[in-house]
Amino acid sequence: MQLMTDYFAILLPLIILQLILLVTAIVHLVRNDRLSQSNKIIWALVIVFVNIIGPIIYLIFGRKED
Amino acid sequence: MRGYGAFIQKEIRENSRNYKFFILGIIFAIVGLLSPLSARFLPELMETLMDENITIILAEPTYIDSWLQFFSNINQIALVAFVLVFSPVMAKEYEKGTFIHMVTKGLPRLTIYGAKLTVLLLSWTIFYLISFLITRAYTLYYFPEGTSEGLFISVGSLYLFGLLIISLLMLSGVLFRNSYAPLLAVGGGVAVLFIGSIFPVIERWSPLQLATRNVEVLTLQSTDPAFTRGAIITLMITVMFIITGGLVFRRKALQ
Repeated sequence: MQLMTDYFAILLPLIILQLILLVTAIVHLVRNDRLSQSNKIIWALVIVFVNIIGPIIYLIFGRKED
Repeated sequence: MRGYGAFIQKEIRENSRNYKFFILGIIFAIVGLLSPLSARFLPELMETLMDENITIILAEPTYIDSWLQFFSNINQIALVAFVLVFSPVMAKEYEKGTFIHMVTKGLPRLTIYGAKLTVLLLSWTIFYLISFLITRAYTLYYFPEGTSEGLFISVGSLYLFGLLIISLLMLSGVLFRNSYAPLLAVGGGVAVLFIGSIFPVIERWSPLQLATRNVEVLTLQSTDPAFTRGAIITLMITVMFIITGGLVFRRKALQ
């Protein structure tokens, strides 16, 4: 039981951080009209399946806002 | 002075809008969480992954392991991400020619340089502090027997090393127009430090000690003269880089 609490105390914030990152990237992707539909699908796959790094790569290189 | 404040505000707004602060905040927080996590649970993970026929003897993890992870994660993930994210700090403005508008409107060049540098240094300070506090809290929770003696010197020295890297980033940002050149400059600078460390004479003076000997300082809870020399040299080089950057920027063609 102690081990479970130990795990939980640190895994929960980690999961929350990942979720925040994921949701931010997805919301930005959906609203982004500079990308074509097919590109969006590829980015969506990258964001969802490449843990942590995927959303970060999208937010740095994929936004095409400048 | 008003220009300085306004430019800092502009930089902060820009970096929040293009998600730089957001990304770095998350990365530094994750590093802060990951360090005690891997120190605490790595032995158990190894046990479950290992074949039953293989016996490995692992020492019970201590708070030292947690900080060991922290130092290597900050070096290899957080500082690298910081440099990557902020490498176009000057290049974007050179490219778009936005400096020209500000300078012709009467904003002193040194103000621009100072404000950009301030924002970089402030963000490093805040993000590093976040990461440190998270690791500290969880280390206290998982390894209550750990002391804090020697901790602040070892953590502070890595912070100082970060300042050196940032001042080099800023200097190379001023010197080169390309947004990848600062990356190469910082990478090259660190490579030179590593190559220098092969020679014992240089190693005893090298700033690299601040990023590689943290655990040693933490375990021994004291520093030796070589380490102190490294710290002083680091401070001197940092100040020199900052001043050189300012001097170059005053004379640099802006587009």
